[in-house]
Amino acid sequence: MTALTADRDRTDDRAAPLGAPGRDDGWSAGRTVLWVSVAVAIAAPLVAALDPAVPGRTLLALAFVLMVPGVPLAALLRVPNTLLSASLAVGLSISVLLLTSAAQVLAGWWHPTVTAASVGLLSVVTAAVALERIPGSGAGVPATLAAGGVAVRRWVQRAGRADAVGTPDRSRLATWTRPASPALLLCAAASWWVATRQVDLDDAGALGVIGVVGLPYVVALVLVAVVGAVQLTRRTLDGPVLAATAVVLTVVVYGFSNVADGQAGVSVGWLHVGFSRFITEHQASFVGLDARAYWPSFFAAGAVLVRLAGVGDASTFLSLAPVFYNLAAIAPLLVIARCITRSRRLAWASVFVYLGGNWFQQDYFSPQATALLLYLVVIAVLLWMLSRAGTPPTAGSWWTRAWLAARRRPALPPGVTPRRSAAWELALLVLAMAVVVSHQLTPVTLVFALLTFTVSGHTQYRRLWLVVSLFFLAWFVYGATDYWVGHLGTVLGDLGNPGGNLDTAVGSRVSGDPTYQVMQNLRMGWSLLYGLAAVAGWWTIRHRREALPVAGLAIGSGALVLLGSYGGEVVLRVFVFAAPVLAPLAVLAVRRVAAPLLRRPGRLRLVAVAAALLVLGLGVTTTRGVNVAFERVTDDDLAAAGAVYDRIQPGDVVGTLAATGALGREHVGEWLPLDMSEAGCGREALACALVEQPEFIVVGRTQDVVGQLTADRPAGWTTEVADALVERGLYQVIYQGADATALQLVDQEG
Amino acid sequence: MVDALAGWVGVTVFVLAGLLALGLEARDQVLRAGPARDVVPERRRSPVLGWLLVVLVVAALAAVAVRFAVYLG
Repeated sequence: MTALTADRDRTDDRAAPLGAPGRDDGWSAGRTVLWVSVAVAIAAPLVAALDPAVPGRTLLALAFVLMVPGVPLAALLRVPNTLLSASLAVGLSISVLLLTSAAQVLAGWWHPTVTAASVGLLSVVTAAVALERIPGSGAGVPATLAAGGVAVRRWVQRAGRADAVGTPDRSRLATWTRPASPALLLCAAASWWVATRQVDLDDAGALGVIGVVGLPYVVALVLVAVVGAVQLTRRTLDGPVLAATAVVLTVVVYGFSNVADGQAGVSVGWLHVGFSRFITEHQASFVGLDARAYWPSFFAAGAVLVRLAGVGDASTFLSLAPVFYNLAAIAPLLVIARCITRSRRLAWASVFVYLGGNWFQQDYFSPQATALLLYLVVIAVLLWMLSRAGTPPTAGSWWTRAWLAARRRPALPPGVTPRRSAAWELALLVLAMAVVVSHQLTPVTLVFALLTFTVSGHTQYRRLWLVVSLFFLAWFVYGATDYWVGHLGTVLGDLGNPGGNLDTAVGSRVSGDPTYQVMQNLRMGWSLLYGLAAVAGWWTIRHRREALPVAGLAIGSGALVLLGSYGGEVVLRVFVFAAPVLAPLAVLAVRRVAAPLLRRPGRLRLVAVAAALLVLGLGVTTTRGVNVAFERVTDDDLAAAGAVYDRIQPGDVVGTLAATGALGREHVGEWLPLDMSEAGCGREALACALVEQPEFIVVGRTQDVVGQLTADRPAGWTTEVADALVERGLYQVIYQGADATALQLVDQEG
Repeated sequence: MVDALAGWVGVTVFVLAGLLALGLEARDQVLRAGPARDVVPERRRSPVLGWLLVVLVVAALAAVAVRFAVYLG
C-alpha cells in the first residue's frame, strides 16, 4: 500500500495539547504560549489605554483577539489534540470578544479598553492557574521561551506525521525536499508578488480574474502544486512544509485581488467597516438602519479591534481578511478531515481541496466568516470526540436502531474525565452563543449539526442543540423584535419553498453577457462536481459509524434552502457550510477512483497529484474571481466617496447605478441610498436622476461593468448618464477620476 | 396577561428552560458520563425534571407564538 492510498493512520492524536502530560517539548511549548498570552493580555490593553503611536500595535491587537483569553482557557480544557486545542484557543478568544462587545453595545456601556483590560486580567489569572497545573522544569521564563521555538515546530510537525504505522522515522524527513520545498515556496511567493504588481484588474471583464492573472501567477501556482505533490506523495509526511504550502496557496489565491488592487474588494465589507465606525462614534448599535443591527457583536468587536489597534477604522483589516479566515480554518479543517478520512495524508489533501473549492467569496470582513470559523471549531470537537469514543452498537429493525441510537450516549474519549468533558461542553456553548449573537443563518446550521450528532447518538452533549436553539430563538424573538415586526412576512414567506428559493439563488445569477453566463455556469459546475465527488466519497464510508453524522452535516447545510432565499445567496451559504465536510469526502472519492494511478510509485503519481493541485488552484482562481471586475473597490471609488462625505448633510440622498464601491464606509445612517438602476428605481437611470434628484450621484467603472455583464449595457453607459446630468446643469462634478466620478446637485449649493 | 406572556413571562420561561436544560446536561455529564459508559443509559433518577423541561420548552414556543400574535396582530 502506498502513501496516498493508505487508509489508516494509527499515529493519530498523539500530539500533546497545551499542557498535556508525557512530552517535555509539549509542556515547554504550552508554557511558552501561555507566557506569550500573558504578555499580550497585559500589553494590548495597556497600549490602548496609553494610546502611543508605536509600531506593531495592530499586530498586538490582533494577537489579543486571537489569544486572549482562549489560550489559557484551552490549556485548562486539556484537549489531547494539538490542532483542536489551538482551534479552541482561537475560537474561544474570538467568542469572548464577540460576547463582551455585544454586551457593551446592549448595555449602553461602551468602554472597549476597560473591557479588554478586564478580559486580559481574567486571562492572566487563568494563565496563572494553567501554568500552576502544567509541570515545569523550573528553568523560568527564558528557558521556556528558548524551548518554545523548537517545541512549536514539533507541534506542527506532529500534525503532519506519516501514515505509516508506528512512530515516524525523523531521519526520513531529512531528504532533499526539506530545503528544496521552502525554497520553491519562496519562489512561488516572489512570483506571486510580481504577478500582483503586473496585473491590471481594469482589464478583467466577463472572464474575471483568470483572464488577466498573467504568467507569474500561474508559475506561482505551479510551484505550489509541485511542492504540495512532493509532500503529499512522500513516504513520511512533513507537517511544517505541508503547512507552509497551504499558507502560500492561501495567500496566492485569496490575497491576490486585494493585494493587486491595493484595496479590499466586496463593497459589503466596506459597509461593515461603516457599521463598526457607527458603533465607535455612537457607542450603540445602528438599530433601525439595517437588519444586521440586531446581531451587532461582530461590528462591535470590529470597533474594539480598531480601538486596540489605534487605527482609523476597520478598513485596515479588510484586505487580508480572506487570507486570515482561510488560514484560521486550516486547523479545524484538518481535524474534521482527519476524522472523516482517518488519514493525515488525506486530511492534508482535503485542506488543499477545500482551498481549491472555496470560491464563494464569503470570507471577507464579515459576521458570517467569523461565525463559520466558530462553527468549524464546534464541528471539529464533536467529530474528534466521535472518532475517539466508543459508541454502543444498535440492533433490530431500522426504527428500533434509530430509537436506540437517539437515546444512547457514547463513551468519553480515553483519558477524559466527566468533569473535563463538561468543561468542553461549556466551551462549545460559549462558541455557540457567540455565533448566535453574530449572525442570523449560522446558528440555524449549527443547531442542525448539533441535532445530527444527538439523533445519531454520537455525542455526549445530547441537550446542547436544545440550549442553543432556545438561546437563538430568544435572541431572535426578544432581541430582534424591531427586525421581524417589519420583515416577518419576508422571513417566513420563503419557508418550505425550496424550489422558489433555489430559483432565486441560481436563476438570478445566470444572466447577462454570454461569456459571463458561461463563467457563472462554470462556478455552479465546479460546485456540482465537488458535491458529486463528495456523494461518491461518502458511499465509500457508508458503513462507518461517522457516515451518518457526516451525511447529516452535509444535508443539514442543504436544508437551509428550506428556510429562505437569503437574498438569493442561500445556495452559496449551503456550500459554505457543507464544504468542510464535502472536501474530505471528495478526496475519498478521488482516492478510490485514482487508486491504480496513485499506487504506482515514481514520477507519474507525482505528476498526477501536482496536476490535480494545479487544476484546483486555477479552478478556484477562475471561479472565485469571476466577479472581480465589479466586486473590486478602486482608489477612485474611495476618493469619490470621500468627496461626498466632505459635503454630505444629514438626510441627503446618494444615488448609484449599481451597489458597488465603498460608500458604506462612513456616515452610516446619515444619508439615504438610492438605487438608480431600472430594477431599483422603476425607470431608466437618467430619468430616475431627473425625477428623484438625489443630492449626490456616484458612478464608476465597477457600476459600468455591472451593467455590461448583467444587463447588456454598452461600455461607458454610466459615464453617459453622468455627462447628461452635468450638461443639463443639474449636477456638478465634485470628484473625477479614471475609475469613479462623484456629482452634486447644483441646486443644493445655490 | 397576554402582554406579559409576550414579554417578561416569555423571557422568564426561556431562561428557566435554558437553565434546566443546562442543569440536566451538567448532571448527566458530571454524574453519569464516563469512560465505561458503553451501553444505553439507565433510567433517569428523576424523570420529573425531564418532563418539566419538555413543558418549559412547549411553554417557550407558546410564548413565541403569543409574542408574534401580539406584535403582528
